[in-house]
Amino acid sequence: MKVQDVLVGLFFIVIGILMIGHAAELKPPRHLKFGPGFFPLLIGSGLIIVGGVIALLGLRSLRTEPLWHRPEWSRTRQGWVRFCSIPAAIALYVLIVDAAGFLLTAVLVMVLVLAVSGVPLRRSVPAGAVTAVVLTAIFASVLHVPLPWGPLQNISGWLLW
Amino acid sequence: MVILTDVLGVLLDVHLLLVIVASAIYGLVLGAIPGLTALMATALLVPVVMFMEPVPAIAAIITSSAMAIFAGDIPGALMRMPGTPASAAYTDDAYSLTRDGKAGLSLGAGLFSSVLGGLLSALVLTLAAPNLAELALQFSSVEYFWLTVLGLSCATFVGGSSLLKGVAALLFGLGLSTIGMDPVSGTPRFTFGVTNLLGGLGLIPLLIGVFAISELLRTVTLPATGERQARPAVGSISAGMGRLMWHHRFEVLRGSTLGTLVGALPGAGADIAAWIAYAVTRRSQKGKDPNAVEQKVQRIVSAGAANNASLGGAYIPATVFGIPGDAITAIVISVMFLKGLNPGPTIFLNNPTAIYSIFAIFFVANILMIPLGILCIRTFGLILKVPRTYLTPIILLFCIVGAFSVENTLFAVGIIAIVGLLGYFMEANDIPMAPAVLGLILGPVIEQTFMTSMLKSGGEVSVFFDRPLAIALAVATLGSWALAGVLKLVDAAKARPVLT
Repeated sequence: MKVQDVLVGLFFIVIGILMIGHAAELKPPRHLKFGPGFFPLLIGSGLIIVGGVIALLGLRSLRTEPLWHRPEWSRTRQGWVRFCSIPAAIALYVLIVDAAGFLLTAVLVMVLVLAVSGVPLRRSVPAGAVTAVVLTAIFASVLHVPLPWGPLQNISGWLLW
Repeated sequence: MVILTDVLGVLLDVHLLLVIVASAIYGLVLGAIPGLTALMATALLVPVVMFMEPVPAIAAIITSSAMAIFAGDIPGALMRMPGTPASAAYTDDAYSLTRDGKAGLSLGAGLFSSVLGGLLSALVLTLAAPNLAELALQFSSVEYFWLTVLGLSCATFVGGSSLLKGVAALLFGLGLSTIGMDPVSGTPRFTFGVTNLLGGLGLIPLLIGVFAISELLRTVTLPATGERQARPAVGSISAGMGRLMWHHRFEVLRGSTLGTLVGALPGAGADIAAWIAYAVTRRSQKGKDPNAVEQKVQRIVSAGAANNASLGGAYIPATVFGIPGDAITAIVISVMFLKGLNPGPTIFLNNPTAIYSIFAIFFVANILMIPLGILCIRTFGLILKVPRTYLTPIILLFCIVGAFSVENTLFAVGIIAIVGLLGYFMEANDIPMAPAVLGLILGPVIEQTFMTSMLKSGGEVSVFFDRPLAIALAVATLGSWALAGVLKLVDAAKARPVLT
């Protein structure tokens, strides 16, 4: 989504103000002139100045340009579903992986993203299962990453060597 | 001599050779798939190389990125779809040769010029880096401060179409780098009581989010490409290439020199190098038919050599000063730090075998590119059969597990989603990502060198202009700002309509 430069400038100004606000609360250690807030203060000030100039220059085209420009994909429901499927799949993973374990969650993530692209379950489930097993073999067995097993803890020995 | 035998010992290690071959195949496959960039290939490789010894880890990144950049030529020449942005400059020329039944010439010229560009930049890297390191040994925190600011300034000025947005992106990246413990006093900043933020945002999840997730968000929203295109016959790739390269030796040399120089400039990567070499070669062809085979091959050779040469060039500031030349070396630097192989001039004293082995791997990877590149061109039809629909969730799972494996927290997995969305919106609004990423990586270096210098001088700003080296770097930095400002004003004046 492309937004008008006034909004881009305002975004940087807000970030700059928040940084300065927080930096002001950070007191320097005793006997030191500059503390942990000094560098964020400089960056925050820079963001306000640069954001201000971007917004000011954006004002010139404010009348001729819309405030935001929707990309082509966002004009259909399918486009939104496709776009949101990526962050939704990550959120699903974060929420259930500890309880469901990596293998089941990975299959679910694959099925979710493939379903959005119109792939039927009879294809997405085997594809998800193969991917999950391969990833487990690489990351859990070879690289020793502690992937959670969830209810499949009993079969962990089959895939760990 | 002792170092040479040590380096040979490292290179002949079977494990290292296997890593090089495996990462070469990985890089070729990912680079040949349109839409998957060399940067994305590198970002996805990080979680795996994290578990390797330092030299094989860097070898995997060097090999896969070099291969991916060359492999981007293949779909460009055969389907008019550049596999990576670095091949975009000469895709039309390469494809038009293919249409005229000269696919072998088009791909062969791309392959062999890439190899020569890579080898020449590796030679420059090997010769220049140790000498620069000797100079860098005289640097104090003040010189490092100026050098880092100079690097970031260059990254901002060449990073995108809008200078202001580049500066804003840089400041935003520097701002993100302040999250976590202050490097001087250890005070928590911007952590808001979240324990996971005490150590900062976690560089690898951030890089995966910025470069891989945002790319996936762009890919899933693209319309389906429709019917699979027929693959044209390629013919002989290597026949007569020695003669062709000798015939175009000036273009190879020009492309390699430009590529190495552009690569060494922080912020400018393979794509910018290829475009510059292409433009310079095109300008040198004034008065000649631009559609003649000879001229097209000249442009392909020059730009093909430049994009691969930029890789070697980018390692010069990365290994000598710890300042990344492009986004790929930004990842390399983080991996080097994480593996205890701290980049900087002292690496040539403390760990010469490792650093010279890394340089030698450039030569090995580029020579290996000839047989594997030809193999990749021959099997391109198979690579095309990998369905994009299935690739997206597989890459997504790699990103998730990759972020988790480095940090061992689900917080890191959440970060890739947030940063991926942020990266997507920044890109959509022409806010360049490279300055933000370099700001994020170099933020702690700038802060530490700045604060150390200020503390040493008791708050006297004049410390930044006390030493001749510092003055030279300060003049170069301030000069680059002035130059960028003047060029911007000239551009604005040119763009203004003439009143009659």
